[in-house]
Amino acid sequence: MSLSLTECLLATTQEHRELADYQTGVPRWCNGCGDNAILSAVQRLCRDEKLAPEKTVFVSGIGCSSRLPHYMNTYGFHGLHGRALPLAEGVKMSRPDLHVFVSTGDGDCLSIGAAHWIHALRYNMDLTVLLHDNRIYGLTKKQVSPTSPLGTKSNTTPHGSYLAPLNPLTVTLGVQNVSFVAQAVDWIPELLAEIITAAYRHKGLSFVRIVQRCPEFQPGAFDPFVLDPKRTVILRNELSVSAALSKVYTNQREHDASSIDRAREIASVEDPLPVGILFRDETVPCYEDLRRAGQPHTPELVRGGLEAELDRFTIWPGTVRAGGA
Amino acid sequence: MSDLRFFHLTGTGRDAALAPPAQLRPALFAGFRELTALRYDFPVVLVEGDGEFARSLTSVVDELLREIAPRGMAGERMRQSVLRLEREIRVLVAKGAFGSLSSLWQRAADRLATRGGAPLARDLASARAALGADGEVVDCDARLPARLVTHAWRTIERRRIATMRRHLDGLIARLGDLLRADHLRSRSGRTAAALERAIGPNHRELFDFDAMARLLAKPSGASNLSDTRRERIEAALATLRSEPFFRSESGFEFTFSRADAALAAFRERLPAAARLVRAIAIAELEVGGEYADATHDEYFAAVDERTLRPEDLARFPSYLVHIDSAQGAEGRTQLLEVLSSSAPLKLLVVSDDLFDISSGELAVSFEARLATSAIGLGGAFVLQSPASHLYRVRDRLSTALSAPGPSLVSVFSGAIPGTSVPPYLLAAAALESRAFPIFSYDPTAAVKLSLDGNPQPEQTWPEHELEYADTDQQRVVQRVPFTFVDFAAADRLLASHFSRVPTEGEAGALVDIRTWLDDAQDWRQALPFVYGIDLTHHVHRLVVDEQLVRVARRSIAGWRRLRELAPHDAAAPSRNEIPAAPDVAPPVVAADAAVAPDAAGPASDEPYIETPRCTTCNECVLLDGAMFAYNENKQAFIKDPTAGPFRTLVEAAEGCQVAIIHPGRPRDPNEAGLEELLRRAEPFR
Repeated sequence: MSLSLTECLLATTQEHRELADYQTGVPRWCNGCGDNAILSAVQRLCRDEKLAPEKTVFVSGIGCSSRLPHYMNTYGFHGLHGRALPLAEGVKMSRPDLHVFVSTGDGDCLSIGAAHWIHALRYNMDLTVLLHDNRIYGLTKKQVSPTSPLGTKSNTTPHGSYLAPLNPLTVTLGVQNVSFVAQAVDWIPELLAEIITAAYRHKGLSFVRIVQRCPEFQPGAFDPFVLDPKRTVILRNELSVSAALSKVYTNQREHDASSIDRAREIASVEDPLPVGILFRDETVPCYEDLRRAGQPHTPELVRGGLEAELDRFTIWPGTVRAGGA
Repeated sequence: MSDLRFFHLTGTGRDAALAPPAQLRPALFAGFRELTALRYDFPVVLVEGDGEFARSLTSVVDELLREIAPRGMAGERMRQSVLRLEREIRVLVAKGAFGSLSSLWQRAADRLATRGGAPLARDLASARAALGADGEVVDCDARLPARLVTHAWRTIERRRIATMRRHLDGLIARLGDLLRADHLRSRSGRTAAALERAIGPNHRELFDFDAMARLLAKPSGASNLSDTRRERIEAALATLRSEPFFRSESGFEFTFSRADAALAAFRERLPAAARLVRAIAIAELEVGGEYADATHDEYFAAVDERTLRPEDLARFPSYLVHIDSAQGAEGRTQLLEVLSSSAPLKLLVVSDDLFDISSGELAVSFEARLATSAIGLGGAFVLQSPASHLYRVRDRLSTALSAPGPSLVSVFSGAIPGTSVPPYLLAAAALESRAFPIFSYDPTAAVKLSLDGNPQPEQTWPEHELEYADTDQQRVVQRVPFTFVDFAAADRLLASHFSRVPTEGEAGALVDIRTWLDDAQDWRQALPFVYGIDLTHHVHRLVVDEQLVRVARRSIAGWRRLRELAPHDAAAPSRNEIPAAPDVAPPVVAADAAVAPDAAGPASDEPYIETPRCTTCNECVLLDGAMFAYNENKQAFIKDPTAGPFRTLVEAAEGCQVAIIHPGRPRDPNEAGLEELLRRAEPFR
């Protein structure tokens, strides 16, 4: 909403920050964990988009993924299990001027937080949602998650899991008002950074499923894809793919991200793994715009709100019938 | 035949008996007798409130029926009742009735109830209760372009102004908070009187404000605002509170009937706009705590109307200028000046007739040619449409009215003076004949010119079936084009350019007008003709004079130029086109091997890391922080290959999750266990 002149003047006093300026603490993820790649990608985004740390918030639920806000030198909110999205929506509703990111996992988002996930998509608030999908509960030492492959042996399913995994992309693409869906993999950092940047720039809820390795509890689960680039198909539209990467990942296809039908078809393909922006619709309205979020709490507004609340419990003289209790 | 040839060459009829019939119309009009019996785009409801600014009565009724009349027999009576009412409203409006949909609904319901009885009245009353949309109902007549475009413009401006108003009110509130907070911290804010004012009147006697003032005498917290800052905030607040652009009362007027007056008003208001932009920018920086005196003071001192940025100017209301057909030379120059400027003027130019005979020579009027001329000026958004299709192109109309900079909306109303044919039919005929095609030109779009909305755009002339009975009462079906000359046959003022062909016997010397225009014909061999009908729907063949043929040739040349400028259909598929079949290839499973190093980096004896593919997993840097390090993107590279033995490189390569570390060849040929290490390093070569 700010004027172009204001943006221009802000740029004159903007501080230059390095990637390390967005880093705080030492990540307590296992060695080789894909979360490191995601952390590094969001730090690159913050540096390249010149995000002011005091205007940036990372919100999370519970799980390995949800430790990410601890390592960002920005504002952060480590919330309750499954509740990252409603918390982030509250932040955005109150402060639409902030850049709000959500870091959530396959258990946090797709299981206990599934209802919030569906409705967050429908509300389409301007959030960047990063789903760290390692297909396992890692923080609690290996239990099946909604995306664990059929037959996954874990503490809770010693004889192998019984249910086919949920596909977060197809579910997301089936929700009304979905406006941005992408898939990334942690082992192609260049594309991961590109996709997260495109997601951040999208106005509306951008949902990025990041297929993420868990070397501790799902060792080698993604090796077929990691070691054979032909089993990854890069969706070409607005992403720029470097020549060096194109040399390795030769399996590339043009994709019209405005077609939800094509996006749904691609989303249902699991091998080769599609990577890129599946769907984008800039025309879907954001809930915070519809509800005119961020209004200043003027005395008149507060008074009006209070009176409306109190009026709900007021019994006006003459409205009580004679003989009534 | 010599009379017809003489007529063709001179435009003068020797034989009064060959004059065209009164109320001449193109033959293809025969199918359209009573528009009120048709369910089509008109009348249109100019919807008040949010959402679409206009909806056809038909779409409003259809939506209502979907809601209140269940499919099948159960809803049939309600469906019939409401459709009768729709037709009644259409009849009323065609007779000149006006008003809101709800008032016309009531009027039509009252008329029908007298004939249909209580059940019908009940149906219509319950349907009206469920009616969602309301607004003024307008038919396709001479006033339609002005009413529809003005309503669309007001809807867009109302939203634009409301958005900015909210922003300004927010800034005013927040700047006020800054001053209020400062006052509370100040000495004057802590006096007994000030403290007393801060407490509600009911409990004032419970407090000793003098004692409180003594206790709070020493300010706490951050220091007060500096005088410079307070003055800056107060000045910005004063400007924001008194601005004349975004308020409903005592603000500026933005509707004009002359382009020069609108342009003068825009230029005169620029300094005020610059002052407001400056105040908003100061307010935005102040409420964000971002104002830096050392840098920003100097910038703001230089901000004036010359430094206004187009993006910021686009937040201000645009100016609507409604221009009637009559334009002198001076007026025409002003139009071109406006369209060449960057001023946000929205010009609505309405033509009631596409022809101009004021100079003695038959020609297409200036207004009808204005839109194609405006394309050449480059910077203006241009939309041309006949009134009959304004509803169909409402999205593009919205874009034209919302676009920054100047826009031209050129409309042919179809209300040709002295003609009894309904304006809707004439306007649609102008489109059909390419006399007034639909096009839009968006100077900012990748594909600038769009001809969407024209019938059969791949053809020079659209074709339709003409069915009639010949002199032997035999049914004849012919596919005939609807040409510029056919359209001209509907214009009473141009009747003198047609002559009736007297007998069938001379048909061999006649050529239909399409053939005549497409293949230059010799008037000595044949003469061009079109089919026309009279009031009794008798079909006549009409020879056309050469003057009208010349105008037709110029008109079709204009259509061909537009087609050349617009992208071909094949080259510009529509957004909704179904894309090709899925092209996600079936899996190609390669050998169980790591990525071939030569695909990503040079085969070398030197160790290296494919740094852009590093996933920052910390394995290597934790293994040996002296040998491995991160770059500015936090991706690993080999900082010092001599910092450790070959064994470290091999172990790092084995530990790397994405297999991007290549250990090269050992530096020390005497390193312990080298043979085994070389074997382990082999997959990473």
